[in-house]
Amino acid sequence: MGALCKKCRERAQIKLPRHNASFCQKHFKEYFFKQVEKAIKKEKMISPGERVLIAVSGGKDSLVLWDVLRELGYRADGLYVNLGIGDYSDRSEETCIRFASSRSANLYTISLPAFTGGAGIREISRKVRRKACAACGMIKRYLFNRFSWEMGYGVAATGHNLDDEAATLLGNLIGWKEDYLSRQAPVMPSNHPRMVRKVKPLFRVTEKETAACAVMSGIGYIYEECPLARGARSTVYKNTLNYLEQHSPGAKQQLFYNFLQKGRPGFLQKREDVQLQSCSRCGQPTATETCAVCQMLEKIGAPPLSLSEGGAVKQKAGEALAP
Amino acid sequence: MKVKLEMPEQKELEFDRRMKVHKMLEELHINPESVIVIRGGELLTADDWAEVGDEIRIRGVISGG
Repeated sequence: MGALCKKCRERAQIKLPRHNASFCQKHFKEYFFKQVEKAIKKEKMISPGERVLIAVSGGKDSLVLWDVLRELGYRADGLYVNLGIGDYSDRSEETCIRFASSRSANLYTISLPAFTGGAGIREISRKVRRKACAACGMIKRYLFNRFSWEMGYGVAATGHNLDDEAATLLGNLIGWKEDYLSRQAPVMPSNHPRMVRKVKPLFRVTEKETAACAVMSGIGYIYEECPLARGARSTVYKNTLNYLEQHSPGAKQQLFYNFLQKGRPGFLQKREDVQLQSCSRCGQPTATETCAVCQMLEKIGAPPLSLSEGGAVKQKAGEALAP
Repeated sequence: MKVKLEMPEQKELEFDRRMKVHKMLEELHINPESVIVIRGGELLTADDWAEVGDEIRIRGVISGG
């Protein structure tokens, strides 16, 4: 006899040792939705009626986030950035389009190579001599913020889960990166007129729970790894934390929640506030005269980015697409 | 039973006896926290039995980058 659901005593499909509970499909989804709603309400992430833009990648976290927010009644649209990483990017984009279509949801897609004369992340990172993941993160954050702001979204959400947050925290603690430690939070308020508030509504659920929710909701997602991210340090931290979690259930949430409650306030006090200014080329928030992305584009000989030109942005209304 | 690993590298294995999921993961040196185990459209917990004729998928949940 396997485990039984804590609520209805039917066969359980998932065990959550950190909550000392097992759930059937129906009650697991109920639990999952409650955790997301609790995160949103407690951290004041999204106001009633506010439009939310979700950065979607085709992976389980962002698609589950999009699905759950829509089910909870939020006005949530998706943005996919095609980073020009060969077939991997195209498969990811197709996955997002298929999901949007199945839910009649609005998806925007931006093609990075359309702005850079065909260069994707691999080529850009070589030319500017940065690690691919660093260049990719910078470009994605830039486009996500700029697009959200230009399209009038009040809040922008990402699918970061508890494992992501705990792994980032562990990395920042090992390196004792005080500045990053002061910034790590489920909500990043706007500190510039062109900066949109960023939120992470999945920070209370684990990676395993999110994958389970995807399967239970019939969400097809990309589970192959980005070819440029192989051997990422974050995976080592995640495996280490999962080892701890296996032997001490609740370790990940204790680490992250205790940090938020007891650790972060100390780092915030010590933080020196950097006055953000507007980039001289694109107007986006930056600590330097020209923002890092404009500097990058300059180095590869691409013109300043204009989202309204060149057909690089496409809107795909879910209703208009074939399932 | 056929076991397909999607970690995300794919690999197919065969087991010739019924066994509990936690035992299977133990033999494969897989941390249960890092995977979901799927049979048909349903998830299995560590306490469930995987039977001889079953087709099981063990899918990694850790996204990198």
